[in-house]
Amino acid sequence: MRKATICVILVFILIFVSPTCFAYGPTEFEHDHLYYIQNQNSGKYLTVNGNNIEQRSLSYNQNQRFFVRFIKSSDGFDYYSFIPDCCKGYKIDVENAWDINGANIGIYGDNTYVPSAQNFRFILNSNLRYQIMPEVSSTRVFDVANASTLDGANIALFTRRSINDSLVTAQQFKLYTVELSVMSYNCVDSSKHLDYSCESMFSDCAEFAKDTWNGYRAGVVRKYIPIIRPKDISIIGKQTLPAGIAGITYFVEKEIHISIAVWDTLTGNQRNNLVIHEIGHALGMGHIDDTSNVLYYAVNSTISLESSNRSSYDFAYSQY
Amino acid sequence: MILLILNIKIGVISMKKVGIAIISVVLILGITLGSFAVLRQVKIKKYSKEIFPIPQNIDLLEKEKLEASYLFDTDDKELMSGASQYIVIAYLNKITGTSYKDVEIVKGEAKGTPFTNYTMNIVKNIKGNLKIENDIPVLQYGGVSIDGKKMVFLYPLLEENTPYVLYLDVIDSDLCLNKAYVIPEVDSFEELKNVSETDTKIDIIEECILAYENEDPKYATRKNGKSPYDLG
Repeated sequence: MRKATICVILVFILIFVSPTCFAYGPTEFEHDHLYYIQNQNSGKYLTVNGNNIEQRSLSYNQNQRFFVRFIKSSDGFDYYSFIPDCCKGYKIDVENAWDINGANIGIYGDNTYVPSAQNFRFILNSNLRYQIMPEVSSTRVFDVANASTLDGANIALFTRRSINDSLVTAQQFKLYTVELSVMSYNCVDSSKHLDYSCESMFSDCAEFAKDTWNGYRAGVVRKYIPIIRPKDISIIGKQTLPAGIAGITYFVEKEIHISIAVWDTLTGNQRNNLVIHEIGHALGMGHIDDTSNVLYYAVNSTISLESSNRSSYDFAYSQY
Repeated sequence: MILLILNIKIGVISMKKVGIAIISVVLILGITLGSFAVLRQVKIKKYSKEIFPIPQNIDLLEKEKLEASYLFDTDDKELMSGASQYIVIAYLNKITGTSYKDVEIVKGEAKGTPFTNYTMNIVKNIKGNLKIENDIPVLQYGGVSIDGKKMVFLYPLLEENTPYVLYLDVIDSDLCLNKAYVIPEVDSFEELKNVSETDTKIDIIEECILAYENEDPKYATRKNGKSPYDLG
């Protein structure tokens, strides 16, 4: 019985506590993607704090996401830069381009004097774990100070350990893609608001959708007030949508068209889902390939946001 | 006494003048507003009825894919058969232009949903009973936006001179497209006629017929009118 209980607990931990619960797994990285970067030893993630890089528990905030951009191939290695999602115009940078143990890893504006201090290569160890080596060094890699597992532990350069070294995990990192689905269009105005009007039949669901999106990022979606708040989008019922289409976000006309024929057949949750979904498009988000996501291509009964919606929203918001 | 009479006269004249002025203002306002309303209606009628030619620079127009939320998987042919009023095998001839539905005038500008207009020669009915006739108009959701600046589309526009299985509904008495499947390896209208008259097996046609025989009316949500081309 005890063994069975332990097994159940282990399975529970594996499913719900390990990173696999993010609906994405560690990835063999592709450049020009956004990643969370997790230390193998501590399970914590690289985090921007001020101008410094340290490790912290996952918060899903922008200061833990890094855009990995391909820079060049040189001497048989591919080099990349890490652009923090929170701080555009900055890159991860080796302090003073030093090649010494303890050289701090932080963020810095575009380093035109020593660009190699902002270029890094990935050394694949095993199981999609990487050591991250700067171009300024051929012997040192990112390292969590003292192999700490605590929040706030600093990241600095340290001599690369061999795979057999028990402390190597403090130098190993896994990359997790941030599932993003963002479009090049949105209906948000220059003050970063989406002010909507709607026909009375949609008003309850529009109110619900507004609260859902504002529950993550307050005050962006607002009801339009004549003269005071110019209208950014109108939610209108239509009889002209093709069969099988429940709603369409129409960026040219800044309108959300909802099929009246379909609307009449939907349950309360499906109606809320549909309006949350279309307002998501108006906010600049695309479809997400997950049947229980509010931005799944087909109407469902989900009425709450998931991490992929939050990260997509953050990214879309940074583009407004 | 004379002064009093003069005063009353002046008063009467003033009252009359004021009355005339008010009536004039009301008339002018009425005529102006009426003209605007008439012009508005003329504009709405123009955009609602006319088919506008496709601009020469269509390939240069900015393209905008509309983002939709679907009620069901529109590639599920059994569900699509149930949701559509007609299913036909037809040869699509040519694009005749763009028309607009749900037209309204907002701040003097026309707004409306574009539909690309085609003509088709129906060869065979799978569902429903449309006239087997040439050059029947058919509309596809999407096309050149009413301001002529963009191409908006949900599904890619159909190809001219191409045989299709078309799933259709009636909207405002027009035959409008729900879904289309190209019939491969058929190069002309004559060839398509031969195929439909003989027992030649073409996978997509067989699939569509079989799906219709097992149609699922779960999503037959629209209360359609009848097409003027319906013989039923």
